[in-house]
Amino acid sequence: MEAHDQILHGLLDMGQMLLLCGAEINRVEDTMTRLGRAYGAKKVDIFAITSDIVLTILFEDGVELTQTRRINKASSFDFVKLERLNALSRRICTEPVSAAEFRAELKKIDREKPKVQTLYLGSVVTALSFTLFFGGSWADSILAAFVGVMVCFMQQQVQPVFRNAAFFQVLVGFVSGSFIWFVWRRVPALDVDKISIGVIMLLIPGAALTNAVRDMLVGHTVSGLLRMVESLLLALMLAIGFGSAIYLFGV
Amino acid sequence: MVGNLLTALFSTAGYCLLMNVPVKKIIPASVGGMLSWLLYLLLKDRVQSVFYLLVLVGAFAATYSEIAAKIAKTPATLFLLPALIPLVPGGSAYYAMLGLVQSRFADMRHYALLTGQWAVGLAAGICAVAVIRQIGQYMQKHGG
Repeated sequence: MEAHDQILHGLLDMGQMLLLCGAEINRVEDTMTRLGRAYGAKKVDIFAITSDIVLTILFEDGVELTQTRRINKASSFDFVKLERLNALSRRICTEPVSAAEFRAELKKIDREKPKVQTLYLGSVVTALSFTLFFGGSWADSILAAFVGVMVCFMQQQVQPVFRNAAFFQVLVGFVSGSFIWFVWRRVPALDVDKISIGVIMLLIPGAALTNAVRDMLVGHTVSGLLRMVESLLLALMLAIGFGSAIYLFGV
Repeated sequence: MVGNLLTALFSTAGYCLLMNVPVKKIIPASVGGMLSWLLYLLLKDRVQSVFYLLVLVGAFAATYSEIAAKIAKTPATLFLLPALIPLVPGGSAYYAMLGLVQSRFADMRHYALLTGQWAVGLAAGICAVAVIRQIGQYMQKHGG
């Protein structure tokens, strides 16, 4: 009995980590099913959406167990982790290890976070290049890159304080929008719209939106809807933040 | 156009850093984004319907990422999301919501519809590739 419990815990940990690092629902359900089979399940039933996983396993010896896992955290893309988890699951499917060892390996992967420098560099490069991409000048893009650093700083330092992702998005939009308009008042040669869109591309979940529609088209309608509504809400919150800044400081 | 392609390349590379793509795969992933954008620019004046143009570009991005993932032995998502970065309708989703906040409803409707069109078009292209791959796998398994 003990071992059965451990197997379910391990599978749920795996599923939760996959969801949180941005894997598609297909991959989550697929990986968990394969792992379940590797641990001697006769039948594996999984229902996964972005905020919950339900797992039922029928074992060879006739024992049937169900566990659910509630997922509170919002997912953010971390492809290093996704690759590690994928490699681990492949390895275990070919040569299974004990459930306790499996969970220890998962914990080890979970502890590694993306480097802060990488995120700062990513914010700078993204804001800078997108401003140029949408037709801004070099001066515009350098200001956008600076706002990119501000955004990343807030994501690192302020976001942990706000449990509410939507409100954080309003705040980031408002602060960066106000800053851009404030600078523009002093340097009117800058193009406010181009700078704003460069910064907005940093914050807008466009990739997640496309991914959500794909989830829906391959048959995961509920998960796709959830992710779609989530990303539209974040876009709305960002617009409220930027919109308030324009309302207060804009022309 | 070269400058435009370069900015698409670097925008994708920046996003790769944000998504924590493994260092060795950042270059192939960014090239995928640039190629999708290049294909969009090349076909823009030849394909009349925007929707089918996006289906084509989505299918290209999916094919590129499947092949790259086979070579690098890694999940295809790792290349697929970057390959879509220059094309995802983030900007129009934002403008639609801004229209809502600022009571500019004509703008809002226009951008909301654009967002839907782009997201659905790209996703349909990606799914088409997935379906073709599944059929291929089925044929292999059943000796078709």
